[in-house]
Amino acid sequence: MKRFLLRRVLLAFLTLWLLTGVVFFASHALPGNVAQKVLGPFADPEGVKQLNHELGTDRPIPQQYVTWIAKTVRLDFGRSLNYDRPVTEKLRPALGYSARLALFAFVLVVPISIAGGIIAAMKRGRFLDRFITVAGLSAAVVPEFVWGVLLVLVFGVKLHWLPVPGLAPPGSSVFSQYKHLLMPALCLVFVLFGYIARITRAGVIEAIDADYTRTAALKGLTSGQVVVRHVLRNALVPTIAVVATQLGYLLGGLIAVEYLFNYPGLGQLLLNAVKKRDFPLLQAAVLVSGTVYVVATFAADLLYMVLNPRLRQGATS
Amino acid sequence: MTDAAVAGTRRGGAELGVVRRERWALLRRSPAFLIGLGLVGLWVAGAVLGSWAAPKDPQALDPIHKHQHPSLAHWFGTDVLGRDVFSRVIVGSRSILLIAVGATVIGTILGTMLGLVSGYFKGIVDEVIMRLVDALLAMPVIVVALLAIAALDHPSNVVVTLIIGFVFTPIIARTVRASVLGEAELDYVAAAKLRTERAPHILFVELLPNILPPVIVEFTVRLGYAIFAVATLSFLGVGASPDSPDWGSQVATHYSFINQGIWWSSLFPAAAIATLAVGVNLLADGLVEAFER
Repeated sequence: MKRFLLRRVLLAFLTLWLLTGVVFFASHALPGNVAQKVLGPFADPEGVKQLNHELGTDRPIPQQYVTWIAKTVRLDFGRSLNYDRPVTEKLRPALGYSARLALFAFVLVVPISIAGGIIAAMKRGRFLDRFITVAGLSAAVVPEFVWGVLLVLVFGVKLHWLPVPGLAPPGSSVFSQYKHLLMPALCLVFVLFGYIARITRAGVIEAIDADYTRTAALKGLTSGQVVVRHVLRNALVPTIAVVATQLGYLLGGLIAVEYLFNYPGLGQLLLNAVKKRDFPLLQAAVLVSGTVYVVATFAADLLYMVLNPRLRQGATS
Repeated sequence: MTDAAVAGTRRGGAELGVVRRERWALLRRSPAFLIGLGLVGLWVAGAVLGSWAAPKDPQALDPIHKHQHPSLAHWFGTDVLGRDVFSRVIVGSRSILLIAVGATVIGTILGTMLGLVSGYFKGIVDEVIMRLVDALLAMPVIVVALLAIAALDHPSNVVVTLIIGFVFTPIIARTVRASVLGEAELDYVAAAKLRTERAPHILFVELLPNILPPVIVEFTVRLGYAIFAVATLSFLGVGASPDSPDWGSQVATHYSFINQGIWWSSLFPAAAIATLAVGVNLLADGLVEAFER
């Protein structure tokens, strides 16, 4: 188990390091120069030269990389070119907003989709199973912003049940804040439901077919006891991994949802950084999202190990 | 699961024909597949016929008749500049289909080659390729695409196609690699090695035809995600020129009018995206059902 853990930690760091490489390469090493991109094609050449010097982008690439990574490790992402403030200052509140939206979406989607997956598995091969599986995966391929438009039309404009902006006015009650968050969160729920339900379904079916389930049923446990104690305990292990992976992918969805509902999170920050060619901010936002993914999958693997005795006892598999 | 199933269905030529016919029979009887085929067929027809099928000129401005309700003259109403929404929705299918299919083809070709090499040679080559894949997978498709768009000066349709294709490459490589790992253990590969066939021959002549079913399934599944990504990028306003009759940018332009009760100019392009994406997903679902039993 120690070896597995060590290997996994090394892998996480390797992934992060490669990630910094990709991010750095995208913003520094591609043809064209950074200051020109920031200032636009008709900028004064002197100004371009000066900005390149200020950013350090006139130095050789390897040297730039070393300086950049040394700063990044200390969480110093430099100054935002667009806002002229330290990047971390912009990043922190945005991260908080996004975390709240993402967690709310997860609190909604995880129980619903696990329930959906269990129902599908119990009704295996019947209409309800096909419906949950096909509808869930069809919902998952419809982009978040399309769901957003449909939700806003129905619940915001026609029925007037829900407020449209994602952020409640300052001083609103907690209930009102989450009411504002409901439609943005639902967009993410629609896209995530299918994956989690599908994996849960597969896990439950595997557990139902397993020998230990037959044994449990044969020794006279009620079907409720069999499902809760034997089937679910084993079936939900792969689900955890998928939930963690989706957590990392969530930022992709957050960009469109935050843009649509004008919510001041990490996604909007990243999108604005792209549009304004604000590279320090962009690098930081991408690295933060990548780190969330790496940490989430790492935590999932740990949990996986704790829940799976075969791995815990250090079997070679 | 996939590789095991494929490995288990190793058969001679005659039997392969039977399998193919069985698959077709299964597909023809699957309502999901047929609905998917219908939806995708509709949009492909729209894309091929283009402005020829559109009742009005999709770019013709008519500011006096802007924001008109859907009517017999304008089935889907008119937009903020008085353009016919129905015509723009039909013509808009072209760019999303071209970019999504192009990107998926690029990703499938590159990913298949990478997966073949990685799964067949194993060892250090495999380890290096797979760690790179892990790092790339640590970023959502949209984020990678945005990063690349920021790095390049002029995002055009070609650039967006290439970017999404490259982003898909590692994902497809991983699927192909898993299939190859199952296949490479089989006797026919060992036989080819004993005949001292060279590696390219084994990879492309022996292995490739046998891993084709999972590649086809992966292609269709990825196509769905490509549509998702292309639509989202154009909605975010970072893809191609915002003036083109593109579904995502139509939604972005007209979304703010929903509050005034002008719903048609954003609902119809949004519904077009949804039907195309669901159609491709139903096709993929039908193929998975037919190929993996």
